[in-house]
Amino acid sequence: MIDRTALLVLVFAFVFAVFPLLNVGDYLLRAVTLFLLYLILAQSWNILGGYGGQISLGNSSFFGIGGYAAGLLIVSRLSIAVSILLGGLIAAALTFFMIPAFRLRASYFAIMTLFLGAAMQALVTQLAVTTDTPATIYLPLGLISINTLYYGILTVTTLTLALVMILQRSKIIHALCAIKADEDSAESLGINAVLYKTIGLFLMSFITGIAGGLYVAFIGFADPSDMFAIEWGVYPLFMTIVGGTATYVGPIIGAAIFAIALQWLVTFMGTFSLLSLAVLLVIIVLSMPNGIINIVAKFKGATDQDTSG
Amino acid sequence: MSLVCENITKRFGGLTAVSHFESSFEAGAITGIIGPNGSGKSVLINVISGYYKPEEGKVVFDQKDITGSNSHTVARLGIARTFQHMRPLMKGTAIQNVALGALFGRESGTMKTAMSEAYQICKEMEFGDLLSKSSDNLTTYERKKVEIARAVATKPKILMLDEVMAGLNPAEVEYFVKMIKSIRDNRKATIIIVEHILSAVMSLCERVIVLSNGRKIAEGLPREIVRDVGVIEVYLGRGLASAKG
Repeated sequence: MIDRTALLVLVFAFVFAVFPLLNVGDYLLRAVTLFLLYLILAQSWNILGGYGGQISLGNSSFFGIGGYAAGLLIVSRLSIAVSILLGGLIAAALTFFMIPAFRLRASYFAIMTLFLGAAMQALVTQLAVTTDTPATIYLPLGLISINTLYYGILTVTTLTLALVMILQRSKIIHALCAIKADEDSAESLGINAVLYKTIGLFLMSFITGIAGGLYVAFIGFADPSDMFAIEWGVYPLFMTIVGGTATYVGPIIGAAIFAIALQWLVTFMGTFSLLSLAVLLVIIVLSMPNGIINIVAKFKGATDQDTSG
Repeated sequence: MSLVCENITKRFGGLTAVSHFESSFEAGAITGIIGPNGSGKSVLINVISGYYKPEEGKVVFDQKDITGSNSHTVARLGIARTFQHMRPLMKGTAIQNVALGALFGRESGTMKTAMSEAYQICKEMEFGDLLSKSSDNLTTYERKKVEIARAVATKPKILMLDEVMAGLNPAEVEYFVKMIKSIRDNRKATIIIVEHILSAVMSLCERVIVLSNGRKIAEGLPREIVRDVGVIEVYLGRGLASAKG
């Protein structure tokens, strides 16, 4: 059977592959590029945070390390694609320090990820000071055209969507869902909770690290205060919760709303954009605790949003 | 199959929950563990299943020392258990929850084999309409049935049921007694059951272990246990025991 999720991924890839051919102009193309990037962050956060219920507030550390490492590698004349891939792997390697956190449960994990984000930022800034190199890395001008980059990001977005689709049918997501519901019961069925949470963490950090590299290629420089900003830890949370956690379509809807809202808020609210974003999140969470996708599902009278398929 | 508890002691701070417990469990038997609240029944289950690590003693399963192994390791070796609080582990239908056991248990399967395995178990346990009921709105009785089926789906050599009949009405208890017997017969499982409903224990178990304050005070056939002075004392107080004795 050709199922709806696979169809969705194909249609998604096709629509966004055709989009730049419509000569939409630079501003819109850049806005959509950012949307695709945000979607990578949201859907990868959803693996561990949504399905597995392990809330990470520190994805800024993976995003920052991945981006910063990619920046350094690109400057040292490695190819862009290889640099970004290596950046992702380095971000994933960081997770080995976090596995002990899984012996702690739920909220302790969230707190630890938050501190990791802050620690990584301090580390990179301090390293730059002590080694007397400028902390900000500038990529060569005109390194990559926005069109090439767009298709690069679209490829990663599509691969991420495909990966989560495959995961949904695998033991991994089922194990993570069971762990979220009740870790003790999950263990009693033979589910190795630490193993599956580690797999989730590894995938999330790897993909987030790659997104960091893509972002650096997009903006043309890597600065610790920007790359490790706490926003990168909060954005994925925002998008996934707004769209609907532990659902496949939720992060897609969340990322779209987020991309539009952020553009709009930055344009019209200026310095108050982050504050407004926070207010927006509070309103959405209070009025739709299960995310927008569940409102849609209610109207349809069906709940096809979960892994039950 | 063989399960031997050697001199198990489990303490929580100054409290000794289980003290020098010794017993071995015979293959294919249904053993009941009874005792007043706080006598250490559930703690014992938790020690055997790897949820707690005992301070002293050993749990030996199939000639292998499994003391202090992780819960999931013990489960995959073939010791399944249910919890007193029962929660569905995934959204979706009852049978999908049962399939989780087959997916990750002793002979962990693929998604496909897990579903057909779950279907077979649900049929044996007479799920009927419950099969496709959403796990969000199950009654207590149904939830317990799903939890037991899920544990059975892990293909256990030993199935430990922790107060599965609490909160059920007499008709449901009677059905559970029948069901547990048929699980033993169909699935060739050894069953250890912790239970407060004594009538169920008496009709179900071939052997009964009585705990009081963490110590084993009696062990034997159900009809011997009900006449045991020490047991009567624990349950009804000293006066009645001496009147009878």
